[in-house]
Amino acid sequence: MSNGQPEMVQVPHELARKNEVLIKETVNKKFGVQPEALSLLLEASDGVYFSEEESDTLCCLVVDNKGGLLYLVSGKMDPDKKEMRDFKCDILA
Amino acid sequence: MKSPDTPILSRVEEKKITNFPERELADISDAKIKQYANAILAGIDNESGVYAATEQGVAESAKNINVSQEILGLALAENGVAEKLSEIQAQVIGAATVAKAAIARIMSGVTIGKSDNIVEPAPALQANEENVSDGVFPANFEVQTGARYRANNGVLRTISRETENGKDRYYETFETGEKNVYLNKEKLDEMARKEEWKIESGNVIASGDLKETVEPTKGTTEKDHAAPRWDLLELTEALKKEKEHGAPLIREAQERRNKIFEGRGVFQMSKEDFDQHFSKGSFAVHEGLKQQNVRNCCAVAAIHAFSQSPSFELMVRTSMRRLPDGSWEVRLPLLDKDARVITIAPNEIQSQKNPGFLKKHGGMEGIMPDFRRTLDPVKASEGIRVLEAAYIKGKFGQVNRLSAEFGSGYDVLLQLGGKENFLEYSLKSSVYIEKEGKWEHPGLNTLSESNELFLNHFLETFDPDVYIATVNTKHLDMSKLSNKIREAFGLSTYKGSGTNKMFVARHAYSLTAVDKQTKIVTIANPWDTTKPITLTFQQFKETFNTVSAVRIHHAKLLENMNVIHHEE
Repeated sequence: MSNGQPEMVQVPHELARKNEVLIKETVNKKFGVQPEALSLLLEASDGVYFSEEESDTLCCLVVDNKGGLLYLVSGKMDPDKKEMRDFKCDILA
Repeated sequence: MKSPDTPILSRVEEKKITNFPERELADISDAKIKQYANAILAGIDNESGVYAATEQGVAESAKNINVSQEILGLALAENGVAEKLSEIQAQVIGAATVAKAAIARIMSGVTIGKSDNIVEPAPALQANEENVSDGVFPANFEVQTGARYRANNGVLRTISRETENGKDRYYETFETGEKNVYLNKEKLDEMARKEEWKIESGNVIASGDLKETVEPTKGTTEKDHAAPRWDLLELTEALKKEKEHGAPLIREAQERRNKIFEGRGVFQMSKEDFDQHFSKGSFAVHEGLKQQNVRNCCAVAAIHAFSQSPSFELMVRTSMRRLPDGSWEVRLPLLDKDARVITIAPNEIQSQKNPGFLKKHGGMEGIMPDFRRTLDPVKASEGIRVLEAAYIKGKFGQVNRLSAEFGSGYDVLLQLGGKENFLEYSLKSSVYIEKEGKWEHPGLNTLSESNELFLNHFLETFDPDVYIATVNTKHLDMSKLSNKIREAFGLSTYKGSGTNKMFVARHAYSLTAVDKQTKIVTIANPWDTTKPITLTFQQFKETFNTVSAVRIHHAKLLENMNVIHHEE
């Protein structure tokens, strides 16, 4: 966790917030869940993070409030760290 | 809001079946009923069953008047035809079966749909459901014969009526084969209201609101066919989709999810305490469970299956803690906003005196006295024993292991995890033999095509992070004395179909893994969960009768942690 370093925490969360529509669309495209039913775990510091396993990869946990499933959505960051691309999505739980 | 006792015919009128003749059919001759019944059979095929059930309808049964089978059920119930049909001949029993199933579903608040399977709650019983959800059980609730009910303590029974010397007697037959007799219907209804019975319409229970369809069964068995809910199919289809992330990224995400729980400060138990109290020796928590002499295989199998879930540790650590004096506080359901605290004292996870010692009771089918002086807890780590005791105390008010014998896996799981965090998934291939008035419990390979499809979906997409499942083997034929004796002496084992592996009849196992590629199911016997048993899908279907499972509702788990970001 990144407790005690709020500025570090903000970066991935801000990026996720900025790309919220695209992130939800990724879930919608693969699993057909309506974006309105989806919530990003933006209030949890571990709900959005840069992967330590894959470089330049932003990961978001997205919950389907209706169906109850939890999704992992990831996207590659452009070198300028402003835009996400190559979104992937899986059911996490 | 209509009460459940609104006259059925007036409800039929609400459906604008204006030409339904209001006449009594109860006293007409068997021959006439047979004629009607045959017409009903024809009528079901073209969905004009109600009309066919009327005298006028016999002549015009082929005419399509576009009424649903619900109305057929109502009409048959009103006229007492269904009761008589079952006594006539095998050919017409199918009609009675459909009618009874329809009535059962109507009573449970489900309207039988037409060919498109679209269903909606029956208005009159919506009221009933609303009352129940408000915590007020309908004061005028009446039991229907031929239907199956679950009491608020989870016990299932089937109600039947027999006439002796001109007097009706009502029997409630439990899954164990035990029977209670009631000399009058009022007493039975009184008991039903006291225990808040809810109808269980038959073989398939999906999560939440039931959505089922009934196909006519032209055989000698009562067998409900249910179509899987579209959302279940959607889920299973979703689970089938190819994984895009590699295992390291998934694992990392799961760790992050766990940290979210951790970060909320909601854990009552540290990781170190969890490892200490939920592990047994060098084995991981899920490897060392052994059911002892209490017939609670369902509970042990359910706890074992639960312990396989990646959510197990989270749920346990949020809701259980060991106090300095060695007692435990358990909040049940685990990780539930409305949980109540159950205290388990050290002596409650030890062996206890058997209150049924030397008595003849249900477990031995009334043949043998109970020779068990003590009833012993599951052989497992302290935490698991506490969980077992908490389940019993939560459900029965005290840790009386005798009262906790038998049951069903999903019921145990719902007690532990709550109906919000866990959604029930069950599938059963039991059939009611109308002619003989008894249940049979063949293998899952006898399921209808649609249910088998559902089962295949379930198996092919089984994921312990999503599902927690127990399965039950077929029963021995208990009408045979030899089998009663075998069971009384604990010899109710049989060879699995297509394998030399031995299985215990009417016994719960935990379903721990499914290999989708090789189509191999891994299960564990709660007698010793350290020895996994593998079966092919086909062997599994032929050996087991029931899937009793829950799906974890992760959104609810997270909601309970108040971490979900809701948009304005």
